[in-house]
Amino acid sequence: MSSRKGNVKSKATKKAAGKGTAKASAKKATAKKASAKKASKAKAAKTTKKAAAKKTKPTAPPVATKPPHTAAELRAIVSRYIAAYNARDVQSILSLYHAKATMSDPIGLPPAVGHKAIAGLYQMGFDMNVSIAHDGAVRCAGSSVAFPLIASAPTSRLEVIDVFDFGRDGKIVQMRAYWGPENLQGDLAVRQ
Amino acid sequence: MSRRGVQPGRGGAAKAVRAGLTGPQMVELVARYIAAFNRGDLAAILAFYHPRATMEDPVGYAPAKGHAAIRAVYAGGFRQGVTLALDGAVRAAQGAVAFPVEARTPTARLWSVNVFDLSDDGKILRMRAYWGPSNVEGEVSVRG
Repeated sequence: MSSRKGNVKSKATKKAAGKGTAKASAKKATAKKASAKKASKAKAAKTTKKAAAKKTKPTAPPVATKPPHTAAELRAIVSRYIAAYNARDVQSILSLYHAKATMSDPIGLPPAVGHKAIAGLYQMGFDMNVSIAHDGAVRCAGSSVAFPLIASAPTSRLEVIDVFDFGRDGKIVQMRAYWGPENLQGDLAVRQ
Repeated sequence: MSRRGVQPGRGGAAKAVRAGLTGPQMVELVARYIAAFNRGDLAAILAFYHPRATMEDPVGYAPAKGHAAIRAVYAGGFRQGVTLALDGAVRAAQGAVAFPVEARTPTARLWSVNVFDLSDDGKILRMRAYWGPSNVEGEVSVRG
């Protein structure tokens, strides 16, 4: 479905190089210089932008282009994950995650990055006495899996959809939890 | 799942004035989307999408980019007689909403989780439908 655009710029440059008088080519050289200057400026701007983006938005390792797990394996991983969560088994949970994975829980807050931060987030749930259970079918889509769940604490109930994206090594590179205030019944202890 | 707090208190004033749809508005958007889908109303469906939106349905395949390509995906679904129904609670997060759906054709049932990333003015910037062959009962053609 995606269409690749041809490299229009390089085509035009080639055309220009093939003809013209000395004067014209001198003019072109100046133009080229100017455009090179422009390009380097744009590049610099891009780099700054990139650096800024890196600072504010940590990027997860890449999602695998070839699915590292079958659908059956994805379901087994989700089952193991839920069991490990309810057993407060942080090590088993972390073993599912890439060392540089990001975890956005909920989406909209800055993600936890890396095992240590991710472990901290889980510990917070454990401290609130949260346990989790399926709330519908596990959806297996290539290198990703999405599953609705209910997170219950003694005085509250929260509807969540979790999405795991997997990297080439089969580890979770990005975890996203979708939920908001409307999905909460009762009162969940809130970290300030 | 740690389930961090969602009260407006967290994040302070910056959060409170943050632009974008509220949770109830997102829930309503999903309801209107499903209604438009079940009417086969292409124009209404496209009106939910930003002109440069991308649509991955299912996730893992090349996305459809822009209205024309997205229209083609929906038109294909409508030709197959697909209808949608919610299959659980809508989860409205900050700037994004996820919801489980069951899609039906005359010959198949399919379970998907759909995710919309939304712009501040409530347009879908990115649509992702999470499902695969293991979520299909009966016969349906997977877009390639």
